Amino acid sequence: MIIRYVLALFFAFSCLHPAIAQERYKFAFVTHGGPGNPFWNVVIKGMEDAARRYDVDVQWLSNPTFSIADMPNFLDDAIANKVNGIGITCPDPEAIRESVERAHAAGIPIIVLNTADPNAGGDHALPTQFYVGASEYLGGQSNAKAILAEAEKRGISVQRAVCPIQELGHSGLEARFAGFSSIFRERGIVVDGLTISNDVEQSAGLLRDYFLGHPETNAIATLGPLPADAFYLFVEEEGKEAGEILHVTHDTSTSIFDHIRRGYTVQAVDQQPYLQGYLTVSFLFLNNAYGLTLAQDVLTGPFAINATNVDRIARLVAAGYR
Amino acid sequence: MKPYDAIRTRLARSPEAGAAAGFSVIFLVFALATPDTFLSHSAISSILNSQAVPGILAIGITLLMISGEFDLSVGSILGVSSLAFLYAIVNGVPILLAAAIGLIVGGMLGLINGLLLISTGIPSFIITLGTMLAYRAIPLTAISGGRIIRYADYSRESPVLEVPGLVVFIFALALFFVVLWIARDIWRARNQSVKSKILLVAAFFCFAYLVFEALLPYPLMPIKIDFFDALNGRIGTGNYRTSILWWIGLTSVFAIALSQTRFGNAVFATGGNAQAARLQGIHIDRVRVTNFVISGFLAALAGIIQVARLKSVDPLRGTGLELEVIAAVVIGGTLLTGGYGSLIGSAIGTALTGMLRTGLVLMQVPSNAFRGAIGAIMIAAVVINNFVRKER
Repeated sequence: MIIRYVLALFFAFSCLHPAIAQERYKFAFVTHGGPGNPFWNVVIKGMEDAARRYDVDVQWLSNPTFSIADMPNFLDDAIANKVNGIGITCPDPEAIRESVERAHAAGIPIIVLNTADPNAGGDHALPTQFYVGASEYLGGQSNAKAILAEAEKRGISVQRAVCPIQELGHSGLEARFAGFSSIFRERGIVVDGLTISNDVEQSAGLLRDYFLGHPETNAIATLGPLPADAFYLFVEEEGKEAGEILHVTHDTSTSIFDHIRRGYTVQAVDQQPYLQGYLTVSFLFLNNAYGLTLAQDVLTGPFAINATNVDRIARLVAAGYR
Repeated sequence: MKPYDAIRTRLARSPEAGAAAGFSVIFLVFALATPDTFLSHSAISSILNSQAVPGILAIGITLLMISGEFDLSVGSILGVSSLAFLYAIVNGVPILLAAAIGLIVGGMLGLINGLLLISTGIPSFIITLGTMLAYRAIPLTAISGGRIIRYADYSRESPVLEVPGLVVFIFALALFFVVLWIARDIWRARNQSVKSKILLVAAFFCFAYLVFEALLPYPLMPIKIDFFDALNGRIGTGNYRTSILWWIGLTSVFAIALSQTRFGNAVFATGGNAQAARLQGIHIDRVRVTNFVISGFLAALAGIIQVARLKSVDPLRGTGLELEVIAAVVIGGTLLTGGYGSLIGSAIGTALTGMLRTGLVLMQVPSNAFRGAIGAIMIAAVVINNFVRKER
């Protein structure tokens, strides 16, 4: 009697067992963030859409919100699962080094997405293939060029610029700042750094203080959606006209789209997270099926959003592709 | 008595029996579902490596729960002490002193919990909910804006302790005899359950392994100990890590202390019936505060062990860990109401939650489903435990 139950149970699991079904490639994404943050849902959608198109299995392995400590454990799980490819983010290369090296030794191709390995190209680079994600530095440069072009169109000149930084010491934000000021420095235009926070009201006050002290400044680059909101609060309360201070920003939000339409914001740069999920699956598939790889990184950003394309982008955001 | 009742009575005597049974069933399910991956060293090491840190936290939580208290702040304490430890090393503090600073910080935060409890009389659930939020504010304000403090930004070399071989040898030998002496005492004592003897043997062998592994290859040479590897490095070339030994070793030590010492009796008595315990002359406040300090201290140790692997600290380190650990302890058969529980059960419960995560990943289930599975298993475990306990 009992033996029959055990046999039935065993049979049931044999049917569930994927090895009986046709062998498909299986890929794992091990990242520092997950579905608890709306940003990652766009990457996940890209990953799932590509998995359907290439007929492969994918798994998103992460803490629902944020955890670096979970990353090496999920990597070990993926290695135990004998996956055919892994996509990882690299906010902290040392935390995952041993696990990435084990995966590499096991012959599993690894692609970095969203957050690049800071040691890439050097002696301490992780053994990965390449990076699929945005260049923050180029994003900053793109924004600076957009301001200069807009000033030229309006027949004005940029006297002085300011770049408020909401998180001091954040390497991504510092790269945005460095890219922005590199273009202005070439033309001899001063770019002031200003320490603010993600608190919109408080930061708007700091901007008011800054512009009181530097009335000649007529260009500003914010480095994220909340600082952009602080700038909007400031111009609204001070009764500034659209275009009086030329504004560019990183990232997207509905209020940024709205201000692009109304002419307050010249340009926003985006990193196209959908592509980060989609292309990672595509490249892992191509690598497994035909041994193909790329000789350099794939930059999914900066992508410029301005008055010419903002309506289309806003529709795509609603559909989950941006 | 029917055989069924006999089994039920037997189960009711050991709190960990339910967890062990659940563990076996789930193990079997995964082994049948994914036989070629689940039974590999790769999968088993992944389970054990990931559960060493929660497993060490679970020791403190179990002691507290047996004495009728609750600690929600361990995740935050882990974050603060990890930060204190790493901050000290990257600022040039000698490694042992840095570790001591981390441990003291953890113990102090636990002491604050305990003192708040006995001075205000507010339930520990509320107190530690408050301190969980308050302690978390420390790393959040000290490390601004999602930044990560990395050891590699300051040095590429692991911190190494250089100890004269003779000192280590004498120290280890002395410790070895102390352990032998205690072991003999406990072994001879009457009314020994088989369980505690097995535990004792296990603890003894773990210790002997560590002593001889460290000593035999280098008889009297100065010994260089890689601090990070000693805490949480790979053992040999496999993927099993030394943190697993810390987890098993500490669980064994505390399990013996809980079952063999007056302190252990006092812990059970405090949680079982505080009034009766007080009449027997047990300082129940002292027991509670001690347990909070132990819990904070172990959270700090777990944090330092985690830093030894990750080599970095971020402001959210340890967030959410407390609930995962409490779930594991409850699965392990410890009662929220106090007076009843087992450290072995907690270790099994912790291993079970890790096994669920890895097993579900191997079955190609999305990782976030595993929290749902832990919840379901926890409720099932409590229902089963209540059922068998009625027999007591």
